[in-house]
Parts: sequence; structure tokens; C-alpha cells
Amino acid sequence: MTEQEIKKGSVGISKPSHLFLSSLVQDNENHSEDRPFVSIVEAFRFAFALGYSENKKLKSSGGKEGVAPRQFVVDDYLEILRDEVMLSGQSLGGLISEYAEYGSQEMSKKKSNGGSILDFFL
Amino acid sequence: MKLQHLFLYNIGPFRGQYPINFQSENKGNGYAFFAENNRGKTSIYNAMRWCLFGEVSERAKTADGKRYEGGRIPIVGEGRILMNSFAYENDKNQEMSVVLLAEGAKGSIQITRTAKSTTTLARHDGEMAIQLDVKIGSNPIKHGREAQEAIESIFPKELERFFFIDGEALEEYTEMMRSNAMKGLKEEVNAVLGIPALIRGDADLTRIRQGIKSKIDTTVKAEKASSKARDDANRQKRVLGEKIKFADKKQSELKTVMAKLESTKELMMAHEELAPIVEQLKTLEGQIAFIKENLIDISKDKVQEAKVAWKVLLWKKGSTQYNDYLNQQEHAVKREWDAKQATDSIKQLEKDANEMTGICVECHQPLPDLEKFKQKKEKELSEQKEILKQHHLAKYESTDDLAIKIGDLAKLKPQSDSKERILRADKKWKKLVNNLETLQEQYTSLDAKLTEDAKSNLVELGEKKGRQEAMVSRREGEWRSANTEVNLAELELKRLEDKSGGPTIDKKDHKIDNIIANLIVTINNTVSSYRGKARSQVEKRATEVFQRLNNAPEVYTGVRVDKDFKTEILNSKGRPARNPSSGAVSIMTISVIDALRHVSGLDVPVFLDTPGRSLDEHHKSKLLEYFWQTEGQQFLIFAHSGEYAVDETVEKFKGKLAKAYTISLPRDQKTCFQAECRSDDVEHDAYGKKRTCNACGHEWDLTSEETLILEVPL
Repeated sequence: MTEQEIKKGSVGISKPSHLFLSSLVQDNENHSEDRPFVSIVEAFRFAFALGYSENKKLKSSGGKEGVAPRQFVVDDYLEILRDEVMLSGQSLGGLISEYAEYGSQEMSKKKSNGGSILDFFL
Repeated sequence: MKLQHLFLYNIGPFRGQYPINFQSENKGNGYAFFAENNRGKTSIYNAMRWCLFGEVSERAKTADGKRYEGGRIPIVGEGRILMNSFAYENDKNQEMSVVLLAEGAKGSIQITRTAKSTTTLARHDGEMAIQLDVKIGSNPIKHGREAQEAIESIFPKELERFFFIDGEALEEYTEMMRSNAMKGLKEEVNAVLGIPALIRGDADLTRIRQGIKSKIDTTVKAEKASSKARDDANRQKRVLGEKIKFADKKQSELKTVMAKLESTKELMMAHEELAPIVEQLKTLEGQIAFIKENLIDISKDKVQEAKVAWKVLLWKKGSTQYNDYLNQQEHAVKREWDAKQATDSIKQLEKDANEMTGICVECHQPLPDLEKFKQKKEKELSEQKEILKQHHLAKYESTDDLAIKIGDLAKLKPQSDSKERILRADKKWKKLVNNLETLQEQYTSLDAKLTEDAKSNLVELGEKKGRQEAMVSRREGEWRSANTEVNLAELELKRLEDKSGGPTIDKKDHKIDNIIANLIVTINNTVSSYRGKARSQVEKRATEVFQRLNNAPEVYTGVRVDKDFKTEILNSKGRPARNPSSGAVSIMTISVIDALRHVSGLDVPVFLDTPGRSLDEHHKSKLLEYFWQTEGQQFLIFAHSGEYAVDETVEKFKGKLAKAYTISLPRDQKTCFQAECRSDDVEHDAYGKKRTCNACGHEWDLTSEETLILEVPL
């Protein structure tokens, strides 16, 4: 695959993950809950970063919920994913989505275990 | 009243003392002073006026070619004065006096008026002190104002014109009557009747009445104001009553609410053991609320910092690639440098080979090992070409491509402290959340200690207490406000009550007002009645006198006095005569004045100065015939010798004259003037300065200015 043959694709995530990520968006009525993101796009970006940093991906099963493409520009991440995309032949959005799916699962597990999202930094 | 004596001292032409004795054994009331002009007739006339009234006024006139201004004649000073001019100019302490002795119904009367200078050589009346002494009968001597009042009780000043009658005044009256310019004799009649006093009384009463009316009006106004204030006060009382009732109601409501509050407090006391828990719960509620408030900001900080959290995670791995690109870039730069070096070396070596001559460029000697040197250079060239070949063969990314990739990756790079900031914000948030959870657990734990009923009761009682406290506060405010209203209403009531206590109308004032009103009416009626009677009497008397004095009784039959006291001469038909003669008018004037004097009832001597100056011989004679009688009031004339001839007059009226005098200077005497001599055998000296009586030897100085008052033998 050449540089020109890299597909952008779209980003999306499973419904449970989408639901979970939605629960991490800040709520002005409830500041005692761990909701560190201003929007679901930011939560998705964090999930993708988590999956990518751990070099782990997960294909989502079932239907997918899209993430606002205007607010999440896949080209911004081309450089770090170029080699992998060229090797795998996947679209850039598809690869990002798999990393994000994994990240969401990990975050969900952390939350379920009583941890906070930002504990991933520790 | 009859004059007895007159003493003149330093007045007019009379230097020193001049006694004049009016007592006479002759029957008759006539007295005559005959003199030429400027000998002193009018001075005696004025001396008596001054003695009686303290002042002498004269009309403006021209006499002897001189103009005399009218007005009051001063005692001393410039121009015409009362004091003897020699005394005025020469005496160090000037003094002038007149003493008048008379006999009246109240006994003897002595009037002494003296003017003495208060300074050396007084030059105006301000430097003269006047002394007046009056003794009537056996009464004590009166001085000053009392003395003047005593004089005027006998010689009323307001009637002066009826007993001090001068020829000039007569002429004026006559002229006014002739020209019909006189608006009647109202003033004269009023004076004669004593009406001025009544009119003054009327004016005084009117003034008093105005004062009383003003007082009544003021009282009425005040009474009206008081009445209104009383009405207002009654209304205000009702208002005050309502306000008091309202305040009582508010007080009652306050008491009720306070009682309820006390009851609630007592109920709350029953749950006293739970009170600390409730207090703790309240404290916890406050703390929880405070933390929740803080949590909002902390949570927002955390969200803000978490915006770059993904970069931190991504960079864990991305940083390796980034560093790798940086290394590649460094190597690429080095490689490109090496290739350039090789290219440059090849070019130099190829140039050296082509240009080689075998001669050393420095020493210019043939090189010893030329071939060996050539081989070495060729080897070096071959090596450089190999390096360049290898460089071209190798596949490396260019520095530009690497720069783009590095730039793209740099966008994902977090700031160096991002992680610490995120962790710090998260830690703060967690700590606060933990605190909150701890407090909430404590709250839940404490809350569990209260039964639902107790809690419900306490909450309910607490809420009730709060409501009741608010109600107490409101009721207190209402009660205070109502009390303020009561106080204000009381103040207003007091003000109105004070105002309503004004004066009440005094019935006495109304009575006095009515009495005065009646008095005024009575006075006016009296004046009107008197005037009517007086008019009738004056007309009757004036007609009688006129008929006796008038020399044409068949033409002019009488005098008419109308209601305004305007006088007219009547003709034979009883109608007003047209253009009566001046003599007739003069006689009418004298008749009217005498009638007025008669009606006035004045019992004083009559002084007539130059009475005949405007009368013809007939009327002059008639005048004396009428006034000089064998008895009655003294009638004194001060006549110019041109008016009445002394001898002729004395001879004609001998039986009616009490005394007659001449006033003269020594040079006027052609015969001896010694009373017992009277001889006409007189000689003049050669210089005309002295005369000597051959009969008695009496000599007199013709240059002397010493005035002589000589009694004419009757």
C-alpha cells in the first residue's frame, strides 16, 4: 500500500462503550462523580490514546455509534499510525476505533473497580 | 370778667415798666387807645394776647413800604420781635413780661408771663425761658401747663377771634363775604358752640369704638378659630380612640403570637436530648454545602486539565517515534554532508589528476615518486566515488520529509508539566470528594439516630418556631407603628385643644360698642341740633346788630345765615341783596362776629384793633355807639388817630367811656402833658430838641424815644 492508498474511514465505537464514554462527560449538577471530559469526543480521544499507548486494540461487536467527525480529525493521527495502517491495510478511522474500543473497555473496568479515569496516569 | 390792670415790661416800644390801670369810676364799658402809627397800639394788643396765650401771630402785610411776612412773632431775634428792641440789643440779661389783673366770677385773676434769657444776649427764642404763673381767687398759684389751662377756661383760645378782633381780620372776613368765597362760618360756629370739643369727642369715641370693634373682630376671629379647633379636637379624639383601639388589637395579637412561640419552644425543650444531634446535622449540612460549592470549581479545574490527558497517554508511545524521527533527521543531515564532501573530494581529485605536471609547485623541482603519487590519488578518487555510489544507492528519507513528520507529531506532544497538572487536579478533586463522602456518611449515621417521628416533630417544630418568630417580629413592628400613630394623634389632639382654648366673646365689649355708637349718634344729633339753634340765634342777633349799625335800613333789612352758615345781606323784600356796598358788608361782618360772640356766651373783654379802617364815618360812629354802652363787657379799641379823632370821640362818647389813653412819643406832645397842668403855653428851644411848659415849667426832650401812655381826661 502506498501513501496515496491509505483510507481515512470513519470513527465509531460500540454502543455500550459509547454509553460508557457518555457517562464520563461532565455534569454541572453532579460534580462529585468522576466525569473528567467536556464532551464525548474528548472521552473518545482519551480512550483511543489509552489503547494506542498500551498498543492494544479491540474490534467492536454489534452496531457502532459514530463520533463527531468534524471534531475528531483522523489525519491528525496519521503520522503515528501510518506504518500500521500501511501494513494492515485498515482505514485510519477503523484503526483508531479499535484502539478506542479497547481503551473504553479498560476505562470501564477501572471505573468498575472503583478507580478513577485519570488513575491511568499513575 | 373785667380787666383791672395791665403791666408791661420791655415789650414793643415800652422800655421798662408801664402800668395801665383799667379801673374807673366812670360808667361805661368803653376803653380807647389812640395813637399814631408805630407808637404801640398793636403792641399793647399783642402784649395781652401774648400774656394770655404765649404767642402772637400776624398775617403777612405791607406797611410803611415794608413787607412783613406773616406767622408767629418771635420774642427776640431778627426783624419784627415782641421784646423792646432797646432791651433786646442792650440788656445783658434780656427780660420781657406782661402782668394782667382782672376780676371775674371766680374772684380776682392774676396772670404773669415772663420771658427771660437763659444766656447772655439771647439771640433766639430757644435761649429764652418762659415762666407763666396764674392765680385765680384763693386757689394756689398755677404754673406752666396747668396755668395755661386755667387761662383758657376763661379765655378760650379757640374763641380768640371773637374777643381779639383786629381790623385786618375784619377786612379779610368782609372781603371773603363780598366775593362769596367763604364757605360759611362753620368753623366759627363750631367754635362758638364748643362743637370742636364735641367733634373731638366724636372723633375720640369713633377711635375708641374702632379699637373695641377691632378687639371684637379679633375676638370673633379667635373664637371662630377656637370653635373650629374644638370641632377638629373632637374629631381628633375619635381618631385617637380608633388608633388606641387598633394599637390594643395589635398588642393583643402580639401577645397571642408570643404565647404560641413560647409554647413551641417548650415543645422543643421536650426533645432536648436530640438537640445536639440536630445541631450536628445542621453543622454537617453546612459543611457539605460548603464542600459542594468548592467541588464545582475543583471539578471544573479537573475537566480543564483533563483536556490534554489523551496527549499524555499518546505520547507514551508517540514520543519514541518522535525521537526516532529526530535521530533520522540528524543522520540524514550527516549523510547529506558526507555526500557533499565526497562529491567535492572527487572533483578536487579529478582536477588534481588532470593538472598534474610532475613539478613541485612549491620548490619547482621534479617530483621523485610521480607514479606512486598518481596511484595514491587514483585510489583516493576511487574510494570517494564508492562512498558517493553507496550514498546514492541507500534509501533514506530526506530532511524535509522528516521535518514535516516531526511537525505533525509535535502537535500531539503534551507540555512537560501536563501530567503533573492533571494528577494534581485529579488528586484535589478526589480529596474533596472523599471529604464530601465522609461528611455525608457522618450525616447519614447521625440522621439514622433520629427516629422519623422525632425528626418529623423537630423539623416541624423548628419550622413552626421560625414562622412564629417571624410573626412575632412582624407583630412587634405593627404594634410599634400603631403606638407611634397613637402618639402622633395625641400630640395633634393636644395642639388642637390648646388652640381651642382661645378667648370667648366678651359681651361687655358689645355693650360698650353699642353705648359708644349711641353716644356718637347723640353727639352728631346734638351738634346738628346746636348748629340749627345757633344758626337761628346768630341770624337773629346779627340782624339786630346789622339793623342798628346799618345806615340804609330801608335798603338792607337784615342778615341771613343759611344752614352752612353762609351769610347774605337781605334787601327790603327779604331776598339776598345784589352787590351790597362795602360798608354794608363790613357792618354785616361785624354783626355776624358779634352775634357769634354773643351766642357763645363769652364773658371777657373785647379787644378791637384798628376797627374803623374799612368803615366810613357813619359806620365808625355807629360801631362805637353799638359797642360802647353804659355797662356790660369791656370794649377796648386800639385806634389810629386817623380812624377816630381823640377829642371828638371822647367828647361824643364821654358817658360810655371808662378810660381813654393816648400812646405817643414826647415829640408828639404840643401841649404840656402833666396830668394836673395840660397847659398849651409851651415854648420850643432854638434847636427844636426841647419843649418847656411855661405854666408848670415841665420840660420834655423831643429826641426821646420813651413812649408815653397818657390818660385822656374825661
